[in-house]
Amino acid sequence: MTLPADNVSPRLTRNRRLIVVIGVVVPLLITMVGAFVMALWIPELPNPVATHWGISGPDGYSTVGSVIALPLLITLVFAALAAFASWRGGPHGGMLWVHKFLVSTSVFLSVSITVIAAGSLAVQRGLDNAESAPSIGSILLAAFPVALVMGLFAWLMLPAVEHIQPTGVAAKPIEGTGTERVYFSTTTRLGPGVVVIAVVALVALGLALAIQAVNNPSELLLPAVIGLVVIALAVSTLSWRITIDQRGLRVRSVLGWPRATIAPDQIDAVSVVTINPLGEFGGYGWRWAPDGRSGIVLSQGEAIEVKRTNGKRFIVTMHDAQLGAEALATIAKK
Amino acid sequence: MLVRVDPASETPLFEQLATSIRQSVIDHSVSAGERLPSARELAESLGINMHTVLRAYRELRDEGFIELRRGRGAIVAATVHRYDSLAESVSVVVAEARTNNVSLATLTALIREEYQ
Repeated sequence: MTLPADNVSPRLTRNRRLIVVIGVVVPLLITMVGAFVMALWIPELPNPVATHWGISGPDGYSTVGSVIALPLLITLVFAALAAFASWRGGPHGGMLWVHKFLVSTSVFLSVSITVIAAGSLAVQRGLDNAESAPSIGSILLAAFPVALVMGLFAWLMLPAVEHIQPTGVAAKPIEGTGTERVYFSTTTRLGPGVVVIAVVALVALGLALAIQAVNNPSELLLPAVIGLVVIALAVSTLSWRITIDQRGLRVRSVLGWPRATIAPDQIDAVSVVTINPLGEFGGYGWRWAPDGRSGIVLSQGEAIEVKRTNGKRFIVTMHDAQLGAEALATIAKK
Repeated sequence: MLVRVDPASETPLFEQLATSIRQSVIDHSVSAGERLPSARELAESLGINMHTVLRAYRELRDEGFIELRRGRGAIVAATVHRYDSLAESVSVVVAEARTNNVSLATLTALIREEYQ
């Protein structure tokens, strides 16, 4: 009998088992053990317990139940996200850098929040009133190295990173007379799926700012400034205008900034490449890849790759990359 | 959208420009409602006179390919899709002409005769 699952390579099946065990089962076990230990402490704890500390001591309080439930909830959501995002693997069934990062982060996150939650309750055992809870600064300081080591351990247990080999096809100049001049322009924008996720995140950010504005207007300024900068940066990367002419390659965000220009005499070679935004650049927008490439990465598929005379490589994803690359090669030739 | 002009060619620049943009509209490199670069921008990019670009734009407007609006620049006409089926028919005619070794001059003459 042939099941559709038989089409999955043995390598990917092995990796999926690792993803589930290291990225989902282990983090959930850690948080569950933490939750169990914390539940045992309930009789000795004040009610409510301190959950937030200011400079001069505790300034936020909540029920024990929420302190126990929150790490479970966060771990569950993140583990599901990590498993879901890395499920399909790389082009050859291996794990890409971003997949390993997500799975290891799942371990890091579960350890750090469990240690912090349990630690913050541990110091309150035997107290009558949470207002006298001691500082948890040392627990915070201890939690991160411990979680980091666990995350690193998870990374080492996972298979070696599968590198996507960018196989560029060199672009030929447009055939024609030497006196010909060319102009090419196009727009490149984020795909609808990514836009939906970005909009949801931005609406959540806007709501958080609105709630802050209502509840605590005096502390609004800093979050509002940071929030607005984040929103402006996100919007500015949604859509880009690309122009190729005798002045070289110019990219410009829809808001007019950021922008960049590569002059013809800085261009060494032009080619068309296929880009996997998450796998090679870890996301969307103006990106820097670990291998030194940078560029405007907004969609999966075709892109222009410009190798500059200083050796750096710049990438712009676009649907008509072939034509654009030919136009740029024509200009660089002159 | 790709625009090519050759100042050394005998064909007037505005005509080369119009042909290039017309081609981009027909092969859907620019879609209906999309804004073309401003005359000044295109003139700077190609190193030609702005009035040459404007003349090409006016010709394309008269042919119904684009709309020119004060302050908004040149916009690809919404009605441009009616050329789609015509473009298909033309490609059939050209393919037929090629298989019969009919030269472009002869084909153009045939079309002109039929049109008048």
